[in-house]
Amino acid sequence: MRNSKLYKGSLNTIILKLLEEKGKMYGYEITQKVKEITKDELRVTEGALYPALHKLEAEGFLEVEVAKVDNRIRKYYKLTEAGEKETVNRLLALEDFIRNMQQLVNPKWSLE
Amino acid sequence: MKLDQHQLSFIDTYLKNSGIAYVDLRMEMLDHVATGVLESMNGENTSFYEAFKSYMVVNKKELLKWNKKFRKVTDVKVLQALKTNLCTPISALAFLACILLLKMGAESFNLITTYRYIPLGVLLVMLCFYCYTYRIVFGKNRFSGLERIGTPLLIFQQGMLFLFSPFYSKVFFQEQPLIYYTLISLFVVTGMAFIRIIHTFKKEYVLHFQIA
Repeated sequence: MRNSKLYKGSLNTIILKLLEEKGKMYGYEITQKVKEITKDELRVTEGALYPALHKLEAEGFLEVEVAKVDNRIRKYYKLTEAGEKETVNRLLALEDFIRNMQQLVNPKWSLE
Repeated sequence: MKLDQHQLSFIDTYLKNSGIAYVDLRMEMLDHVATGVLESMNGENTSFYEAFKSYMVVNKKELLKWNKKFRKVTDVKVLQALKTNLCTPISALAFLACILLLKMGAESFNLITTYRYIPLGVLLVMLCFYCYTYRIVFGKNRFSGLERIGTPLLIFQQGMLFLFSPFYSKVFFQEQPLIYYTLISLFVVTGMAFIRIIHTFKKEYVLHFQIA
């Protein structure tokens, strides 16, 4: 990944978007999914992902489901009702941000 | 392929010795590490110990960073829970009912002198419940929520001791009974919120234990 700082502010939106698509996911699954979608360009580290997940949980946007998988506990995260609304808001904000950045950096590009 | 109990215990002990003290965090970290190690064992066809060693060489720093941030996030979680529990219609109703009962008790039955024992009673109930949950239910297992709630609990206790100190509060509260009732009610409602949060944490961690 060329510049991780550019992605930092979008981590919560990435998490919310993935959970909106998949329903419920566990931490490792999220890291692998991000790697797969971005073709290894973006790697979400444990030190960034889990605190973000726990913070979203504390804010009431995520809820946890615990299950026993292969002799160990696995925590699945899924969106709450407030989380679903927050996802929509954050995606809209992100789209605005991308559009504005495109206008600034290269006005010839377009999202459409 | 899946890891056996001995291999899982090995990872758990390693994490514990690396300073990951909270059981709830270690449970999640154990699953994360075990999944990564297993993937590496399957993909590169290596033994458990080799896969574990190479996994830790690359990821240990991030795991410790996660541990460090986890404490801060737990503090936020505790404060959020306190805010959520206090800002409910039931808490508001309990607060108003408490003021009304105290006022009625003082005016009709002249109970105002006995009110000084209420904050002490709230404090004792809270501390007993906390100690029971923290020490007796979970023993030596440290759980983040239960441990981190200790700080706001201590601040609450000190605040209570400061406000209801007999050195100066006796005269002041006799002159301002409404402030006295309001403060007592506030402490009762906050105490109830603390008990509810501790109970919620207890239920969550007991569930983890039952599944494990």
